[in-house]
Amino acid sequence: MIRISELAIGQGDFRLEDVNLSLPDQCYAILMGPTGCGKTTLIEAICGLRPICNGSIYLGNHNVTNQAAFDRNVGYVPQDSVLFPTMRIDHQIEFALVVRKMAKNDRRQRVAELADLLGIGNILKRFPQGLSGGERQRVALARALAFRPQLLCLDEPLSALDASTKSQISSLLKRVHAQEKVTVLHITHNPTEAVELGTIVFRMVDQKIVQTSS
Amino acid sequence: MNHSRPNCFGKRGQTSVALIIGLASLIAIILLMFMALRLRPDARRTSSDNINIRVYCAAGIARPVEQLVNDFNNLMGSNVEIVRTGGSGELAGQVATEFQSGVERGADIVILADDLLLENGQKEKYIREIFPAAVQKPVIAIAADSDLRIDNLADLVDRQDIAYGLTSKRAAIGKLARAVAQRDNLLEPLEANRKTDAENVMTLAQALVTGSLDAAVLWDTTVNQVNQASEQPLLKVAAYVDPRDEFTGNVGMGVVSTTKHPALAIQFARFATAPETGSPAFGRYGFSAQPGDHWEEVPEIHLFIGSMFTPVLEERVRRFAKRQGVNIYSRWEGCGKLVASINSIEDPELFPDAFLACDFRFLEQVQDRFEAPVTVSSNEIVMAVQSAQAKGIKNPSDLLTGTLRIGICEPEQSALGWLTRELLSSPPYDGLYEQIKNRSAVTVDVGPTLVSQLMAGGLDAAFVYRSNVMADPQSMQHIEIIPISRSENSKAVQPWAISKTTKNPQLMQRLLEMIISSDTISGFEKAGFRVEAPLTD
Amino acid sequence: MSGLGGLYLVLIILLVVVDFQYASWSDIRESLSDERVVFSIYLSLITCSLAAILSIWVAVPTGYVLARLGRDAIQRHLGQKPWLNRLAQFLRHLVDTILDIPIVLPPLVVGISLLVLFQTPVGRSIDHATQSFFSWAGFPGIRGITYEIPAIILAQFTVAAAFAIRTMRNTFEQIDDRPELVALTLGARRFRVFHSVALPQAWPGTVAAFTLAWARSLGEFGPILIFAGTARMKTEVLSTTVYLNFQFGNLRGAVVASLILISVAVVVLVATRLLLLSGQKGGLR
Repeated sequence: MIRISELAIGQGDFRLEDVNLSLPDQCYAILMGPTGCGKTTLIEAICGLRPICNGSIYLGNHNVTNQAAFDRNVGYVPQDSVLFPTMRIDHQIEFALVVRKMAKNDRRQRVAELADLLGIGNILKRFPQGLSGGERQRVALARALAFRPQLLCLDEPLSALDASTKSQISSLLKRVHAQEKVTVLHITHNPTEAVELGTIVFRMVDQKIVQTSS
Repeated sequence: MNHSRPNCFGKRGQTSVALIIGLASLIAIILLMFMALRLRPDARRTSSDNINIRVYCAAGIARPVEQLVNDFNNLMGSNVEIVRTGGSGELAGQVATEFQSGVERGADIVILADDLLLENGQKEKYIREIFPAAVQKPVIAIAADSDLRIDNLADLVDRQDIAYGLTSKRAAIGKLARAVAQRDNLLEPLEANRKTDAENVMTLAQALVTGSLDAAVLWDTTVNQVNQASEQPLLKVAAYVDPRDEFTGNVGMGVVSTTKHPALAIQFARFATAPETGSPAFGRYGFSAQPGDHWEEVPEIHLFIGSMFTPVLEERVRRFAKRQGVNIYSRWEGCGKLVASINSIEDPELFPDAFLACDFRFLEQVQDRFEAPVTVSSNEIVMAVQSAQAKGIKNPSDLLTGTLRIGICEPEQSALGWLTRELLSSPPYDGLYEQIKNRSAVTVDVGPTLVSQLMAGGLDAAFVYRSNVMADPQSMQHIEIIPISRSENSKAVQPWAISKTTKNPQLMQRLLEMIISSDTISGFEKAGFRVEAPLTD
Repeated sequence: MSGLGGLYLVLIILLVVVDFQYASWSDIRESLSDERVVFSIYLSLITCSLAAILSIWVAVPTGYVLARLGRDAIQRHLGQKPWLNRLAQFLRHLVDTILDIPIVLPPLVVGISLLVLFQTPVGRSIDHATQSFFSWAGFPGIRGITYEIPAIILAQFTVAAAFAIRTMRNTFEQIDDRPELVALTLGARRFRVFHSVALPQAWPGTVAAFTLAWARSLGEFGPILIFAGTARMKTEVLSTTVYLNFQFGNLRGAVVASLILISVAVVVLVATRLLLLSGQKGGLR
C-alpha cells in the first residue's frame, strides 16, 4: 500500500495542495491530467527530488516523507529516459546494485535477467549515444527496476515514441509489471494508455486527484 | 559541449576513473614537488648555516653586484644572495612595505641607483646605514651606428628633428637631467621637446636600440650594460649631460634597519665598497667606484672617549660594535690622561681611530694628528651642593663664606679640573681659584668621584658637570645644582675628531652618525648634555 | 565579423614572427645551454603544473557546488520561504563575486596581499611549519613559503584557481542535472552522483580549466615578483627571466626568453589537449 495524504508542494507561483492518493500493492496505477497540471512535480516529490511543504508519504508502513531520495527505494523513469551520457549500458543497469554493494555475480545475474526481460541483451556493451528512443526507454526501465523498488514511477514513458515502438513498449510494461510484481505509478495525458495498462486510474482535476476507475 | 559522448571514464564504468585520475594527480603533485626540490641544489644544505643575507639590487647595478656577491661568498664561505632585482624606486617601495608589514625574511641590504631613495629610507627608519658605492653620469646616448652629432644638452634640445627620450622626474636620472637643464636655463625646451618620459631608463635604451628614438638621456653605465649584453656595441655616448660633473647619480647600499644579521650584511657592504675588492668590480662595468674603507674582515677600532660620556655612550658603542661586526677597544678616561696617552703612543696600531674629547682644549693639544673636528655636545660646569647647605649660595664666591667642604678636580688630569681652573681664573671670577683650591678638602681625577663623595656626605659642595649629577637619578634628591651662568667659560664643548691615520674613516663616520642620531640625543639630554651637532636623522 | 577575427589572428602571428626575426635560432640554442635559462624553464613547468593541478582540485568541487546551487536549485529547495530564498540568492552572488576577486585584482595587489598575509601570526606559523616540514624532509635549504618556490606556486594558484573555478562552474552549468537526479533515486549518495555521473561529463571542461590554469600560471608575473622575489637559480621562472633580461639591458635575451615561453606554452597546451581529450574519441582505449 502506498499512501499519500494532504501533500502540499510549492514551486514559485505554482502550488499543489492537499493531494491524497493511495495505491494498493502491485497495482498498475495511471495518473492522468493535462500538461502542466503538476504531474511531474508530484512524481518528483514522491521520488524525494523535491521538498514538500506539508503532508506525508507512506511506502507500505514506512513513512518516507522526510527521507532523502537515495533512501526511498522508488524507481524513477523520467520523460525521455535520461540515461547517464558517459556510462556503458550494463553499468547503468547495475548502478543501483553497485551502490548497494551487491556481489558481482549477483549483479551480473540481475543484469542478464533484466536484459532478457526487456530485450536489450545486444546493446549492453554500448553507450547511450546512438540508441533509438525505444532502446533508451528499455534501458531506463531496466535501470530503475534493477534494485527491485517498492514503487516504480513512470513519467510519460510512451509519449516520445513513434506508434509501433509505443505498442511494443506498452506490452513490455505489462509484462514487466506482471513479472517484477512492482507497484507502478504511470503518469500520462493519453487516455488510451489508461485503458490499456491501468488497473486503477486517477485523474487530476483542479489540482485535486480523483479516482475514476479500478 | 557535447556531453552525450562516452569517454575514457566510461570504459571502467563503476570503478570510477575519476578517482584514479584524482590519485594520479596526487602522485603527480608529490613527484613534481620532489622535482622542484631536486632543482634547488642548495635545498639540502645543512640547517646550521641558516644565515643568509638577502640583497635587493637595482637592475642597472646587478652585474657588478653579482660578481661581488660571488667573490664575497667564495672568500667568506657565506651565503649572500641577490633575491630581487628591479627598478630602484620599486625596490625601495618593497623594502618600505616589508618594514611596515613586518616581513621576517625581507631584504637585508638594498642597493639602489639613487641615494636620495636611500636617504629617504633612513628618514623613514627602514634603512640604517648607507654605504656610497659608485657614481654614474647622465649622458646623451645614440645608437652605435647613428651619425648624429650632439655635443651637449643645448644641442639636443635645439634640434627639432631629433626624437629624444628622458625618464620622468620620478627616476633619478630624470631628476638629475632636469636639474642640469635648470642650471643651464634649458628646462623649458627640454620638457617641451622630449618625445617620451618612460619611468625606466632601460625602456629608453631599448627604444633607442629598436630605433623608435634617435637619442635618449641614459646613464653612462646603461650604455655600457646594453653593449655588454650584445656581441657588438648597440649604443654610444654622444655627450655628457653635465660636463662639469656637478650632477651625478650616486649608487649606494643601504642596510635595512631590521635585518637579523646586521654584522654579516655590513661586512658585505664593506667588502663591496672597499677599494681592493669593490672598486675593480664596479670599474669593470663602467662605474666610477666610490671607495670606502679598506677591506678587513673584522676591523679593529681604538676609541678614546672622555669619561663624562660613559653613562650615555658606553652601551650604545657596544651595540654599535655588535651591529657593525667590528671590534671596538674603547678607553673611557679623563681627557688629560687620554691626551697624555695619545702623545705617548708609539705603535700606530694602537693609536685611536677617533677621539671624543671632553672639551676643545684637549683636542687642541693633539689636533695635528686628527682631522677637522665636529662639535657633538656641550656640558655645563655647575656647583653641586648638598641640599641642606644650598641656601644662599648663588655664586662660587658664596662657597667661601662658611665652612663648607669643597671638592674640585685635578686640572692636569681632567677636563673638568682644567675647566674649573679656567672658569675661576677669568672674569668675573678671577682670583677665586686659588682661594677655593686652598679651601678644598679633596682633589680627584674625575667628576663622578666628587658626586659620590657628595652623596656619601664627605663633601658639601663640588664643581662638576651637570651631567655628572644627572647621571644618577638618586643624586638629584640630595644634591642641588647651582648653575654658574655669568661666565662664558662655564661650558665644556665636546668635539669629535677622526685620526688622520685611521684605516676606517667611513666606519668612524657611521659611529659619529650613531652618536648624534635622534636615538642617542634623548640619552644625552637626559644626562644633562646639550647636543650641539646638527642632527642626522 | 570574420574579418575582425582574422585581423586579430594576423596581429598575434605578427607578434610572434617579429620576435623570431629579432632573435635568431643560434640565440635560442645559446640560451638553452645557459643553465639559468634551463633552470627557469624547468621551474616554470613544475610550478605551473603544480598550480594547475591544485587549481583543478579546488575548482572541480567548487564549480560543481556553485553550478548545482544555481538560481533554480535554490528556488526549488527554498521556494516556499521567500526571505530565505532571497538570502540564499544573495549569498550565492556574494560567493561568486568573492571568487572573482583574484581575476579582477591587479597582479601587484595579489603579491602584496600575499606578502602581508604571511606576516600575520597565522601566516607566520604556516611559514614556520612549512620550513620545519622541509627541514624534516631533508631540505633545510627551503625556508618556508615567502620568497621560496612554494611562494611561486601559491601566487600562481591564487590567480589560476579563480579562472579554473569559473570554467568549471560554466561547464557544470551546461551539464543537464537530470541524470544526477535519477542517480539519486537509484540510491547513490551525493558524492557518488558527483563522481560517477556528473564528473565524467565534465571531462572536456576540466581539461579546458586545467589548460587555462596552467597558461595563467605560466604568464603569472606580478605576484611572483613581490611574493617570491627574483632570485636567480632559486625563484626565477620564465616570466621573471624575460623581465630580468629586459632590466639588464639584454633585449635580445628578453626576446629569446619570450620565445621560449611561447614555445613551451604552445607545446604543452597542444599536447595536453591532445592527450587528455583523446580518450573522448577512443584514442586512449
